[in-house]
Amino acid sequence: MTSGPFMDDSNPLSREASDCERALDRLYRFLDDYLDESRKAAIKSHLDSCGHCLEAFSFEAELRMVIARRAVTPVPEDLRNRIAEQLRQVDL
Amino acid sequence: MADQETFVEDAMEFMDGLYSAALRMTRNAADAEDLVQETYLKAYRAYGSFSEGTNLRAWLYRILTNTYINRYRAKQRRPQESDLDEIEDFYLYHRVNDLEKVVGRSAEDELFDWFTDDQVVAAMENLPENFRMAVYLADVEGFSYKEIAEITGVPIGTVMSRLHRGRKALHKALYDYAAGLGLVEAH
Repeated sequence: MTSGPFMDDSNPLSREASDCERALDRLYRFLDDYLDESRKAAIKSHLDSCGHCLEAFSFEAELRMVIARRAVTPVPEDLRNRIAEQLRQVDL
Repeated sequence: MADQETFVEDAMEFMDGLYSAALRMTRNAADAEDLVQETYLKAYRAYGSFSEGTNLRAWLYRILTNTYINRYRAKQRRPQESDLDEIEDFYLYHRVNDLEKVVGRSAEDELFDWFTDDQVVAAMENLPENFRMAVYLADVEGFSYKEIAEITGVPIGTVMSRLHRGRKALHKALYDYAAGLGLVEAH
């Protein structure tokens, strides 16, 4: 039995899932922009009326932004210069 | 046909992201620098065959990933995918309420203070490699499932599965750091 974000939409059982379950099931595909327009619209309209799910979506979106901001290390300036210099000297 | 002369102006702007990706993959600065340097050199030589209109940034990440796999991966300890425990969905979110009880205000507002930059990096670098790459490419670099599938050479379904499990493991690790700070009781 599959559950979670990979629930098969063609499975008749999944159609019985509540709006909340379906929205949460698709949360990451929504944030990853991997849903077609009608499914995206359905989630947006659900979030307009469900504070609980909106909170979960906001939390996951914000968490991701925090992680993204903190997981980046700027490239050392001398590496940048070294690569630029090396490319100037390459014989093609 | 792309022209090598335009390579420098087109490709250099992606170096910060590529360097961060290289660091997250190799987990040490010396190897990361070598990896980025080799990636740019290979890309420069191959740029004549790069078809314009396709995604240069994704193409560079693909070269980086392939170079890493061929050259560096053999050196590293390779945790297997089965090393990831089964973790419940929305692990961190489900624990926010616990956190709120302890800090006495909206825990979500405190999200930035739960863990340090170093802890985010450590949590990511502790993920098994395949998960680490998928999570980094999606959540830090913002690549689509399809692009990640092309960069890492696996089907989209595999990308989604790695992201699903990798994110849960990452979020649990971050929770454990928060718990370690004494903000919450460890469960």
